[in-house]
Amino acid sequence: MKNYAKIPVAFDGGQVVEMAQQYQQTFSALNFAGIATADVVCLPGQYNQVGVFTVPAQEAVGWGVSQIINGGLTGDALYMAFYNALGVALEGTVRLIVEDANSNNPQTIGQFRTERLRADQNDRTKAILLQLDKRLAKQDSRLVIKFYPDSATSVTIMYNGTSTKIIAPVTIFQ
Amino acid sequence: MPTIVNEKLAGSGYNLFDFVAIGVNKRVTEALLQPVVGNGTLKSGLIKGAAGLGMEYFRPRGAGIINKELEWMEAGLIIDAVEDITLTFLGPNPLGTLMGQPNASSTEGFVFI
Repeated sequence: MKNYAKIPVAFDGGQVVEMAQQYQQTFSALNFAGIATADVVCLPGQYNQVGVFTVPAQEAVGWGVSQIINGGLTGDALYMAFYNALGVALEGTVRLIVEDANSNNPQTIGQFRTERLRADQNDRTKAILLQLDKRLAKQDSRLVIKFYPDSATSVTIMYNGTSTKIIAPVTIFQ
Repeated sequence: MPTIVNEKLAGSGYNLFDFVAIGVNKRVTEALLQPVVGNGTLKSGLIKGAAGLGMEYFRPRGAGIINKELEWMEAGLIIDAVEDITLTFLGPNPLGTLMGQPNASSTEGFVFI
């Protein structure tokens, strides 16, 4: 019988390694170095790195989750809300990126407005449904969140603000 | 009714109207069962298949519209069961990247960065 469920293959030190399984995971702000532990100052007129997740050994990670609901292939809700110290929502454009360990070859997986990203955490009819992207970050490569603020002056994202929140579905291959 | 609707499809015993009715029944039973047994999983497929086979043995036979409806429902259940089971084993996208979306259970089209 033809094997339809092919298994991803990673290259570890020149050796081909079969990745045995996959599972879905929801990342929060705590998974992303930067926003996890400190406020992030975002300069105007450029994409600022908000958080970065470095893929640990023996894993490959991709943005998004693909799942079947009511017989149709769909994604999982992506939610991001950035607030400043005054509790005011920061507006701008957010990029989800996969890049290698040297920040070379960044691949933009998605680029979304903050208004849409804040729409709803759970309501699938309102939230951005992020499907698994085919570009996986292998070991030491990185998943990066970047933010381009609308503001003409610098803005600061409060990392421990009551409302600053990241809920990002990812798929882990191991 | 146009002739084509009443035309018996070769050997099947069903006409095109039956197929439309089966399609509608499949959608309705799928939606009704979704909260109870789920959808697109091996479990839901086996339960729907068992229900369909049970109907095959126990449903009343006859020419009435109720009997016909039960027959359509049975066919819809079995088709849905086969869909769920094939989904489980072949994945949502057995044709790989041909249909555009990468598949969580296939490396067709995956790129490592």
